Amino acid sequence: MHQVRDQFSSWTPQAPAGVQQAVYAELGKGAFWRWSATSLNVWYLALLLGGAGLLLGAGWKTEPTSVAQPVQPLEQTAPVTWEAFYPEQTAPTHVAQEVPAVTPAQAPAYTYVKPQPTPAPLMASLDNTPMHTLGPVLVHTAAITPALNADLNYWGKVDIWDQLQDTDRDEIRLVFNVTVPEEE
Amino acid sequence: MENLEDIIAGCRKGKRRAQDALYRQYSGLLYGVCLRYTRSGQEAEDILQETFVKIYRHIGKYSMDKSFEGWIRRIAINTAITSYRKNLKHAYQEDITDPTFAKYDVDDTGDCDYTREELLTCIQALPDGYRTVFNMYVVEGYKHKEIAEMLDIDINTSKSQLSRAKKYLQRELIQLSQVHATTR
Repeated sequence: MHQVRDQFSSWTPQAPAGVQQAVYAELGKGAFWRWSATSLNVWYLALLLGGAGLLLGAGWKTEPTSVAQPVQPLEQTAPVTWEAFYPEQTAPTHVAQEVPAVTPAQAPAYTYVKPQPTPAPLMASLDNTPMHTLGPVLVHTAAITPALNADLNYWGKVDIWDQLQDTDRDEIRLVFNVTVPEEE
Repeated sequence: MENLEDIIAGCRKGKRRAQDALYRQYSGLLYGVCLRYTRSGQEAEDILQETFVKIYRHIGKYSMDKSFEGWIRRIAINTAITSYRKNLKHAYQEDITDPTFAKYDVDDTGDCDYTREELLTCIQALPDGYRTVFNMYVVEGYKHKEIAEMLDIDINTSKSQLSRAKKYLQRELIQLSQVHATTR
């Protein structure tokens, strides 16, 4: 089988011409909303200014939307499970038993469900419960499996698995926002 | 702009010229990787497209003290694995107990008188699980333990899939050699 390795290890066929344009088209999707640390987009600036103007105009009458609650590392909670995404699998008891099938385009926001009464895993909220954004959450690397990463990729959220290959850090910061239900 | 450091720096700033240069330089290599992990050219194109989108989006995380080729190759492989895992959700069943595999000797390939294209066709015809494990072990040089972790399978499953993939390939290649012999 060394022949196979020799044949393919540095094989460079001609890539199809259409792929490059498709890549740019994909990169362009949602670029308006995507934050880029290296290039401050003028639209973000406009949005920030507009937002600030609205807040000033409203006279700060509205309640702050964020909750002063510490982000909990998931290692302190139950293991991360994603059965909630798959209607064909048995959902854990703390997840609504009937989970509607959704397409990636309808992918819900990932939410952290507060322990009630025992710690619950990171999961998707499929209902319309009002949520407060907490910000990025730290996840212990031990909790991140290829399966989890694959699922995150499936929903087009993040790609963390390849970054984990070369790191020995104990924690990694997931780049999606974690939200919790509003207080009763 | 053909110096790799300049290309990477340009890509980090989202410069289209740098992205073009990166594509020109590495699309062939990555397309070769994608072709090995997929059933068809169309599927390989999809993986290639997704790979480049990830590369452009995450190139800020690339550490310059490591091999760039290794980094992008790993992204391509991980993307292919993610796709494989996604497909598993829909088509998990594969015939891994075909008794006809057993009658072929692992090392009995005879003379190597097949082309790379023929070999690729045989690899692409492998069941998804066999093909993934075969590529990771034989071409990429991963250990069974690493493969098991990346694919979230048992080590013994990795070993048996590799063994069956080899037997399958050898059967195909022997038949190919016989065809070549009769046409001479």
